[in-house]
Amino acid sequence: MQYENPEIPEGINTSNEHPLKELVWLLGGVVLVSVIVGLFLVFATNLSIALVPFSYEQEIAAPFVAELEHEEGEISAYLQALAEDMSTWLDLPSDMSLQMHYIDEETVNAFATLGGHIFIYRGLVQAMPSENALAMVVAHEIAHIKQRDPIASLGRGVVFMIAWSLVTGASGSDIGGQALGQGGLLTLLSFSRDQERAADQEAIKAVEQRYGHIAGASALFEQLEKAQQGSADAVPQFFSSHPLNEDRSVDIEQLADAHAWQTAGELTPLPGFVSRRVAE
Amino acid sequence: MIEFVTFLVLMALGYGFGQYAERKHYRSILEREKRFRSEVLVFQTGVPPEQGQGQDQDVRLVMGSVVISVDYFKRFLAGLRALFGGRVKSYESLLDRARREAVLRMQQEASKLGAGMVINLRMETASISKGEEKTVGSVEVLAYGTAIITRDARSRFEPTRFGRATELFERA
Repeated sequence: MQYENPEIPEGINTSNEHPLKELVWLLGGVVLVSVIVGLFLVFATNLSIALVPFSYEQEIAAPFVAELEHEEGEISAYLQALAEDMSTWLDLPSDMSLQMHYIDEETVNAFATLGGHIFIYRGLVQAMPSENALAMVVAHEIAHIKQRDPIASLGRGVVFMIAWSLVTGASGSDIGGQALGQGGLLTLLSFSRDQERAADQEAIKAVEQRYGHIAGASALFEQLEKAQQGSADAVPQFFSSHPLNEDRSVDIEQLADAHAWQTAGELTPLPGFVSRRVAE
Repeated sequence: MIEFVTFLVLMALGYGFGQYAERKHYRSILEREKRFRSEVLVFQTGVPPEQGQGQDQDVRLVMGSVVISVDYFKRFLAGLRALFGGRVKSYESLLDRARREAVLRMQQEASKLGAGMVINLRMETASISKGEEKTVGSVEVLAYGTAIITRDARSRFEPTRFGRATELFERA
């Protein structure tokens, strides 16, 4: 009797499927699940943000604001007065308070963050041809605070960090605390295009009510674009997460048409001491 | 961004080298399996069928051991499987190669000793990294058995009294 080791048929213990095909399927599944979970988390966070009291925002922000270098002086006093003025036209709820900060740096930027703190850079004030334009920027940032965009952004960040750590099994029990304790917390908040668009609309409305026309404010975005081209900095934050400046101008024009707003009018210049100080 | 580029490079390297090595290895496995198929018989039973207790034979322990490492691409695929479940195909082929290679190495050792058969084949698998983090996952597959060597010939190149295993069985 002839013995021989049998020839074992292939493809039983292994698969002939191309590994890249498996990769595409699995990755596709991951992306799909992530998108669904992500959308749900964004939705849930946005809903629950209304339940976070403004005073809690102020509490979170306080230690970080102290760290950021800013100047107290006549310019921040002027900005504060301008913000108070604009906030009445924006119907800012009475439990919200604003705190303007002036930063003596070239950057053409302004940002609103937690607890009603708004930071304006010298570079931005310098690029403003009129108070109307500056009022537009300030009103835009106040609108973010009114819409609770900073805390929503932070909430999304924390929720996603927790979700990520659950998926990856990262160690550490206090992940939410870590997210809240991160440096750069105030400046890293980013807003969606919808939030920006809504802030633009609120802002231009307030400017129209304050000055009786939207001259100066509607041209703001083109001026910012120009100022941006002049600076050698990386793209300032004011632009990066924002809708395209061209689109924003178009949106504002449409809004002005719809409401039959005055597009021309007398521009209010910046106070002399402000122009002098920022030019120094 | 840097992390993403690193990831892509590791994936490309893992896929490129891993697939190349796998194809090459399978070719070699098939070729050697063909050679050893009749040269060294392998039985899982303790007593070779119809062999009886021969008088003039030595028995020796023979073994073949293989250590395999997982490449980045396969590990990533397996990681995705950890989310979805299902066959971890990327590891299946890796372990299939390791098992067959281990048996082949055992057969090779038996063949060098002049054995025509190995009885009582056993296999074992051991993880070397033991799931430790930040180490490359690697696994050992060990195949071992008892080689039966006819006393008159320590080498299969010299004809034996009984001849090679195949002839032996032919007679029986």
